Amino acid sequence: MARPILALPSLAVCLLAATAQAQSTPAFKFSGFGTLAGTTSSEKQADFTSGYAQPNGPGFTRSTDFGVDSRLGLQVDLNFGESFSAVVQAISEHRYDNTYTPYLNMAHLKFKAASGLSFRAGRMPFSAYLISDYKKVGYAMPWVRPPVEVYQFNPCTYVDGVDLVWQATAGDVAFSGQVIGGSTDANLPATTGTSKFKGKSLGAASLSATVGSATFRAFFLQMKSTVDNTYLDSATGPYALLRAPLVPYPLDPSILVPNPYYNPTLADQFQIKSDKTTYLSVGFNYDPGDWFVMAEAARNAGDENQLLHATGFYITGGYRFGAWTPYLTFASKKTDSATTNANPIIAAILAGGQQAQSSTSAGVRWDFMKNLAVKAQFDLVKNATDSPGALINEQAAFKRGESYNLVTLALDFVF
Amino acid sequence: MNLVVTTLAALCLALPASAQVVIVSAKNPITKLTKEQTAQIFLGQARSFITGGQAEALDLGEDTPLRKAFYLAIANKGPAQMKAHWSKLEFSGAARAPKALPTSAEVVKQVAENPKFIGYVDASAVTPGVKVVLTL
Repeated sequence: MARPILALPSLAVCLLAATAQAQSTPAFKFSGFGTLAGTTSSEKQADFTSGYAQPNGPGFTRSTDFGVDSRLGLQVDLNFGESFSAVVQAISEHRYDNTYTPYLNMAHLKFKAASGLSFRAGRMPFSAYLISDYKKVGYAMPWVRPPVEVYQFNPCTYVDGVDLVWQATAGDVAFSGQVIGGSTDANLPATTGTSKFKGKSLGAASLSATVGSATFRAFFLQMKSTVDNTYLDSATGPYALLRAPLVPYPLDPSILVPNPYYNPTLADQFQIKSDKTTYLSVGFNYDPGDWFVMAEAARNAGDENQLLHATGFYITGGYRFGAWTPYLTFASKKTDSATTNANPIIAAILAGGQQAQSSTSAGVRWDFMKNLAVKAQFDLVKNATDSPGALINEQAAFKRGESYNLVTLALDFVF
Repeated sequence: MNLVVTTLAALCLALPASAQVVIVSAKNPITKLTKEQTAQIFLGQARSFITGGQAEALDLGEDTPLRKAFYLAIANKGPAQMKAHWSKLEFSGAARAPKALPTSAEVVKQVAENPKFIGYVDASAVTPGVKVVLTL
C-alpha cells in the first residue's frame, strides 16, 4: 500500500491548484497534540509497557520511564473545495527499535459524495475499539492511557486501504457507520528479534448510535495474519525443527536419526502464516456533562496459532468538579488460547502467551489551562496465575501471578 | 401610569441582558429545531437538516462568553470538554470543528446568505435575512 500514500502529495498539489480560487473556507490547517508523562512501577524485575510495540519500560530497565505514554503528533488538514479533503498525521513515540522515529499514522484523501456519505483512500485509523481513533491523543481521553486489558490487544494503529463512512439521523438518534477494506502492519519487539506483523485481506465494519448523551458501538473485523520473524522462520528455528523427519544424532552429527518431536501438522497450525483472525468489540459511553461512564468488551479470536486469543473488558467512570475530574476504572483480561502443549517445542513457543490480568485504577484530570490538562493516575495490577500480564523483559527473580502498582503523572496538550 | 412603565422597565432589566438564539437562513425550509437536533449538528453528529438539506455549523471565537453559554445550554459541556470533543474528531480525521467567526454580525450575515449554515447569536443581532429556530 506504499503507492497510494506516495501518490497523495502530488494529487494534493493538483487539487489545491485546481480549487485555490474557488475556496473560501481555510484550505490549510496545521495542528498537533502531545503528552509528556513519567511512570514508575513497583515491580523491578520486569518492564511495564502500554502496548506490544514498546521494547522496554519502567520497572527493570528504568526506575522512572517517559516512554510509556509520551508522544508528539502533528497534523495537516487540506481542503480542496466542497468535495475533497486530505489529512496527514505523523507521530513520534517510543517504538519497537527503542527510537522515537516519526511514522505516518494517517495519510488519506477524502471524497464527500453527499452530505453524510464519504469515501476515503490511503492510511486511516484502525478503529477496533471505542476510542481507538484517538488513542494517541491524551487530551481527548479521561485517563493517562486507554485500559491495556482491551487496548493492548491490537498492535496495529492504522489500516491502508479504502473505506466508506456514513452518517445519518433518525429523530434523536445519530447513526454512524464505517466499512473498511485493506491491510495493516506493525513492527513488534521480541526476544527473538523484531517481528513484523502483517494483516492482509482485512475487512471490517462498525456501527454506532448516539442518543443524546449515550453512544453505543459495535465493531467486527476479519483479516489474514502473518508474523515474519527471522529466528522463528529460520532453518534452525522451532518450526523447521518440527518439520524435520530426521535430525543429526547428538553424539555423531553425521548420522541422522528420527526426530522425536517431528510434527509438521503442529508447525503449520501454530506458525502464524496467513491465519484467520477476528476482532469483535462492543462499547458504551454515557456523558451527560457533569459525569461520565464508559464500558467496553473486546475479543480476539481466529485460527488456533501462536497469537494471543483473549477476552477483555473495562468499566470506567468519573465526575467533573469544575476543572477537576476524578475517575475510577476496573479492567480485566483473560487468555482464551492454549498456553501450553504436549509437544515441548510448541510449549516453549506458547510460554509467553498467557497475559491474563486485572487492574483497578484511580486518577484525576485537572484542566488547569486552556488546551492543557494534567493527570495523575495510580494503577493496582493483579497478574493472573502463571501470567506476566502486560509485563515484558521478565528477569530471573521475577515471579508471575503477583500484584504490582504503577504511578503516572502526565501533561497533555493540543494546539 | 408612570409606575407601570417603571415597573415594566425594571422587569426587563431583571431579565438576562437578552436571549441567545439559534438561527438559519430565511431561505431554509426549517422552522423549528429541538435542543437535541441542534446539538447533533454542532457536535458533528449530523451533517444535514431534518428536511434533508446540508447543514454546516458556524461558531463564534473560542473565548467568547456567548460560545461558552451556548455549549453549556445545548450539550452541558464546558470549553475544555468541547476542546476534548473536537480533539477526538479532528485527530482521528473524522471531522473538522466548525469555522469560527469574529462577531455575531458576521454569523448573521453568512447564515442569511447560505441555507446550509446554522449559527447562534444574541437575539438582538437577528435581522430579517435569518430566522430563529430555537431560543435558549
